Amino acid sequence: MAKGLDVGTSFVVLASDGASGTVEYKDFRDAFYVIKPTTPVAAKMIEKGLAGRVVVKDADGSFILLGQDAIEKAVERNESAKRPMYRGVVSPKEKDAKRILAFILKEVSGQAAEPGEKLVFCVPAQPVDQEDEDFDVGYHEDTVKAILSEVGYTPRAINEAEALCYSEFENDDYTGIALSWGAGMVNCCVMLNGEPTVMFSTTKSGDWVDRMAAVATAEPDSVVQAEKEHGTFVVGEPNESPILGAVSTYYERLIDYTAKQLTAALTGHRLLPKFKEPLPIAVAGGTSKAAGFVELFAKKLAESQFPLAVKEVRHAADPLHAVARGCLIAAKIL
Amino acid sequence: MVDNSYAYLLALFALCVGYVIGYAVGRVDLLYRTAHAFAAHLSGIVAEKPTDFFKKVAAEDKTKATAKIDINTSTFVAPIKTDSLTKANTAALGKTTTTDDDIQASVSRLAQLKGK
Repeated sequence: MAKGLDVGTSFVVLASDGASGTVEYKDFRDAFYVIKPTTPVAAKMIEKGLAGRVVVKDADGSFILLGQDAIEKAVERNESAKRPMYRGVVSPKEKDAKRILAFILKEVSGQAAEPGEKLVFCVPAQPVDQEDEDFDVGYHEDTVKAILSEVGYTPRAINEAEALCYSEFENDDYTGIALSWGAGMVNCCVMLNGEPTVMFSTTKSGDWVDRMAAVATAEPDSVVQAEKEHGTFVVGEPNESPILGAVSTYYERLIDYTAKQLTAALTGHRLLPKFKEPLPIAVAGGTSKAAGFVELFAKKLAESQFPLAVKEVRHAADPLHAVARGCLIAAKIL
Repeated sequence: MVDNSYAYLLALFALCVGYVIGYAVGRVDLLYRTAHAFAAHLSGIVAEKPTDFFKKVAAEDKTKATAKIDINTSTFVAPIKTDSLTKANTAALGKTTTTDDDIQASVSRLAQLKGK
């Protein structure tokens, strides 16, 4: 038995073997929202009001909503839900981050089916566009390992985009470039015959779009995020809704920025192999699901004079589950 | 007058004799050191060239590196207690979906590439 776990800034996704010839995915939104009752009567009322939602009680009497319910409650109150992760690693800004992340990871992954069951989880690469003292992949990796070991797993970490390569390049001899557009960052891996050669990340992705659109429209991030996920817009095209118009504009800027960063990072890179054939580029992640995203990214990449010949830019078959699927494949090879 | 000339000549003579003796001793010493260096060279003992201060320090550091003591820098992760968090109801965490996807072919191909 083996499992794959995508520990993302916005979603935690567990991949495991289903019945013969199937893969089972368990998704959980990586968010929480704390409600602190002021009186015992208020506590009773809040508890009734939260019936049926994913909620845990803390020792101090407060209620912590988890997942999608946390975001919905935050939107109701015109506030923003909190995240236990920030830019791909355990959040140094939230006091409760580790505790909440531990609870979510233990609940989603469950107890290991057998002692020492193999579990591969993903971690981000070092960013090329920011030197941040708070960004500590090693600490994040050790924290997640400690949490998963407690529920009986033998955890191993791999890079997020490397996992995406394992998921998407079976028919390309495991050669190509994978880009995982998560909420916090974009992770990139260049792979040659199953061996990762260059891996890095950039620190602007979906959350950056939400933040910038929220500032431009004076709305909370959670409201922008909800509108972005449920509204209709095409990246780079005008929209009647002010929020979606702002989202569309910042999406285009994000794609332009990332294409330029990729070009700059890979141009003249000493570890870059000499590829004989043009390379496929696979994109995945929640941020890549917007309409017109893949087409605009391909266009911006060509405009930025990308240093490698590109065969095609394609979307992963299942953009939200592709990284977890790659982690599961890696776990089965260990 | 005669006494003075005699004294001058005597002093000049002494000076010349002193110079000749000094010159001869110097030549002999040079000859001795050259012969000694030549003999040392023949026996394989080559005197170490003097080096500058920094090179000398670098050489010492190189010797110390063999006995370098490393500190354990692996991350300390404090126990993360979740005992204080209790589920308030039975709502399940996470939405489960199943897809038809036989990943065994991918696993075999990748294992073959990685030589496993």
